[in-house]
Amino acid sequence: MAEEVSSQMNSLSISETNPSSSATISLVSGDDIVFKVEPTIAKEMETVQSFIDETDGKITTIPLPNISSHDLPYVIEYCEKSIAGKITKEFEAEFVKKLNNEEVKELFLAANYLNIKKLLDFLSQVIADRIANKSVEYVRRYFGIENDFTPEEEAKLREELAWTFTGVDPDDEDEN
Amino acid sequence: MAKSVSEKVRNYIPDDLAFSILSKLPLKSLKRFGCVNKTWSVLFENPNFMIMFRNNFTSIPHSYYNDTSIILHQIVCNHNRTYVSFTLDSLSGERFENKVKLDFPNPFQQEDPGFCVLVSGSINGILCLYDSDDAIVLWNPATEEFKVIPPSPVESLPPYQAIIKFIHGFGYDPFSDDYKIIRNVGFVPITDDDDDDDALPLPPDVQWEDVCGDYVPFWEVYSLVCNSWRKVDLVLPACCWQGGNCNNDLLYLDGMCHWLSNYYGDDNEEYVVSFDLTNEVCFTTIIPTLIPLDIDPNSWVRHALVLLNGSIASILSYTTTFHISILGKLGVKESWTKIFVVGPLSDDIKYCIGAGKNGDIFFAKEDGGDPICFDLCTQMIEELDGVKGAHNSKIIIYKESLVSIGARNH
Repeated sequence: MAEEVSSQMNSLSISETNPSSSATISLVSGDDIVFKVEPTIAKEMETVQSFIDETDGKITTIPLPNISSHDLPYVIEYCEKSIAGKITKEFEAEFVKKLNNEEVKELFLAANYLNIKKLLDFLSQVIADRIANKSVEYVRRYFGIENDFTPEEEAKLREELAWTFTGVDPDDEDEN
Repeated sequence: MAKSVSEKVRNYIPDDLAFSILSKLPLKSLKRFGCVNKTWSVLFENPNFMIMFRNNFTSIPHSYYNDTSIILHQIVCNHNRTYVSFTLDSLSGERFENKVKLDFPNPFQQEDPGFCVLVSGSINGILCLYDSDDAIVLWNPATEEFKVIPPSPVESLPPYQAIIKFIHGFGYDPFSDDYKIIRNVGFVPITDDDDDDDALPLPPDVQWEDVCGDYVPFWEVYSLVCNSWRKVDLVLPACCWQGGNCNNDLLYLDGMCHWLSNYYGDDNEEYVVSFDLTNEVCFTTIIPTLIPLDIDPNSWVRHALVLLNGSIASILSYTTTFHISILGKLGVKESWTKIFVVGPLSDDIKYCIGAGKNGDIFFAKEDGGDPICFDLCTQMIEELDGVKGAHNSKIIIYKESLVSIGARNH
């Protein structure tokens, strides 16, 4: 894990050698890893951009306590593609292929925190597609929702909605 | 290290974000998740959620429509119906302003060939055409290839009876890699009063009771691989034997043909009949007629069956208000869910003539007025540039393909 992060850091630090590096912005993840990015990328992240604007660009190190160093490189990758105008169906499919459902959720919450509308919209569709055949119990856990029905109420509702309970995937407890 | 981000933040998705996900789910999943908690169980009564759901339902393109185009099929009559012409135009552009006429094939060497087109759309690029003499032609407009379907061997034409054949579906059976047509064959007595050259006067010793009712209608299926028709036994409620709005409300989806069957019995219920082309069995789904009580009992109520962004949809219309419900699961009456109420529209808009891509629904005006398009996304009526009214107008989804019809003949 640590190696992965440092290799990503290396690839990012290469860009520091180019002349515009003086204007780079440092994004600090919740676990205190620093990611240097081009200012144009910050524009894709409304939360970051408004932070920069509020401080008249004097502060270029931005703490992002809600985002882990695991998620931040993905967010940066997506924003880079977006700036380059290279978000295609193929790229998006490849982008999420390697992520499990919990990782997609973390990234979705990160996109919400950073206010990246395009990524948020895309990931909400990914989550919808991935949970469409999941059980009610799985979805409660996934969304962190408490069941507020009495057992009788829930049983009655399940009976009324019996037609919706066909073709439901079995829960995979190992997935996280 | 990543665990330093608080577990609570990581595990909980706030309601507004959850709703943005839920509004992109298929109907069946969304209904099932009504069991998650109380808030989610009443999502369909939540106006804000429904705005998101409707918007996604009409704006997220279904793969069914990839590379498809819209065809307008019209039957134009002169005022005394002595001349009838059939037209087929491909419509494209923002306001369907690009209109390209398609020429029918001419298998019978007619001066002015014309056919009705089965409204369930193209199957692998092939359209099913039929005429008033029960001739059926399969046609691929892209390759101009066509195939005349042989007539079925109806053993003997009963005396004093006319045969009426109604095509109920044309589709592809992926299991046997075959194209099939399903048709109902019925008999009607020919009476002396009929304005029909074939009518025979009933001999004095024959009573109408003797010739009526003896000939039960039956179903037959044509297989392109066998190039022949054969009878099939379908178990259907008696009411579904009737043609109903035949040749209008027909759909093909994933190896199944669906059609609307009217029934005006005590329950005033109508059915969607679904025919599985692989197993050649069928089953029904009741469409509940949920008409508000304050409706004028004399107003005209009818259903239409369309494919709306990949979902089977029923459009219940009375006066000029249209209630659009989508079907969550075949065979389950309770799974119909009302999504849209359109209208009241202007008084001259009478009935649905088909659905296009995304949320486009086409309506015909009364007395052959020009057809219009209602966009469910924008709730706006769009006139169709350069499209005139006709005695009968239909919207058909067409997807070009170079698949050969003949190559499947053994």
